[in-house]
Amino acid sequence: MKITLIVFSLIILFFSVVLVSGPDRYLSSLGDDQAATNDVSINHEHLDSVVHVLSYKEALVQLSTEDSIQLVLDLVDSNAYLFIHGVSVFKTSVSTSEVDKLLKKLPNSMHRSIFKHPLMIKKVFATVIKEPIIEREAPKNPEEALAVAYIPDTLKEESVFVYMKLANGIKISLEQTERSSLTDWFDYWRFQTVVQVTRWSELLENRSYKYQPEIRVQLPKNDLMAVYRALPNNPKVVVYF
Amino acid sequence: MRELKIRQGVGTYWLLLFIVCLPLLPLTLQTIRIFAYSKGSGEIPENMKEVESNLQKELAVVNELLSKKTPKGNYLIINSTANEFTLKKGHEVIKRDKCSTGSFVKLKNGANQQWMFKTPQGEYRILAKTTSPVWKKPDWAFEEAGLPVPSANHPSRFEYGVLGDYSLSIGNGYLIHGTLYQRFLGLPVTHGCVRLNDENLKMVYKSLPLGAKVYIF
Repeated sequence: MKITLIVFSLIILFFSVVLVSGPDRYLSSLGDDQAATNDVSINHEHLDSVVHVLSYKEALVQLSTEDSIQLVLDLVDSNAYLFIHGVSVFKTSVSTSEVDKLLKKLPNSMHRSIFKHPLMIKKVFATVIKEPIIEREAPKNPEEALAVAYIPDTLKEESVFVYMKLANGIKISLEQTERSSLTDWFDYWRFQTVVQVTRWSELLENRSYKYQPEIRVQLPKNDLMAVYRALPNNPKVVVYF
Repeated sequence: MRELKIRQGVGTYWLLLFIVCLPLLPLTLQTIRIFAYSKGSGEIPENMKEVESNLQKELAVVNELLSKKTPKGNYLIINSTANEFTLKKGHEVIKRDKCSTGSFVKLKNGANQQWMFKTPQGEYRILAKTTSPVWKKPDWAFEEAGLPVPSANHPSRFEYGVLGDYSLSIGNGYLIHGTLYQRFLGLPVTHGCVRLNDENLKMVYKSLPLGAKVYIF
């Protein structure tokens, strides 16, 4: 009994050490180049709002040089946008958002060095397909053409949950606000399972645990669908919180 | 004897509680570690006002840069997922209503020929404007209808009145035009063009000059 308890305690101790060092490992993994741009004179909470808004606007200016459509999450005003060439072409309201405590605790110098650039999205997983392609063979005659005339299925409802992993390790979960049907809950559960499996498999691959800051955002279903389908293959995101 | 049993029971209870709660310890410690990070607080240093003023100046420059990005004149935004268009002037919305965009049908004719009916995404400009446009039917229109494809300028290729009173070209054969099938507005049913109802088409035609921007997402 005593040996079991000792072994159990040692395992817990090991995990405690690993998990406690996780945030430090994550911050140090952000790179030396970011440390080089650190301006420690701005590290005071009195300057939080101006540093955050400046970083956001600087990222938007950089984003305006991109040719493709990109995502902007303004969690201060609870809005999500799509931008092309610096022009906001779509705006929707964020109903709920959660920003990781570690990201909120970042010193201003580090916040600026991370968030003054659009963030590269490395991996995207979603419960809906990007392009709802319907393959059809050309009919052989006008009668067959009339019989197979295409009418879109307006009754088809799909739950929309999107998971994004950024190049700097931050995870973003975009979730539909509506959870009215059983299908929505089942899809949400399926989505969360895949997200957790991905997370743990990445941890095992890396062999060294790094903390994974997460941002969770809820958007209306149809708007989230429009956002997801509009994003290019190599999307970028600007986050303001 | 009874007291001993009670003590043993309490001991087991605490042991179970310990085993259940212990796995939460690493996560609790991690949360405590995160809360321990400090971003600098307390007394405001003397040079802070100067630093803040510099940041405000930088912010003003960046805001100025960003304000120049939005077109000053009229422009059109197409949401191809919701099948909705927005006609805007600067930040002001002039009109928002239903439209129809690409159906995402991939039409295959054997192994060699295929067409994808998708509205392209991105930034475009109005390259040409036409009144009473005539539709020159491409090959896919015949294939889709199960008809033989005629020669390039055969009279059966030309259809009058199906595109409405106006059309605006955004390049590569993609048009913003009217439709005979008004009941399908709001649905993804086109071959890649953008269809509007007669009233909206007239407004868009009159509002957008050549070179005006069209954003499709």
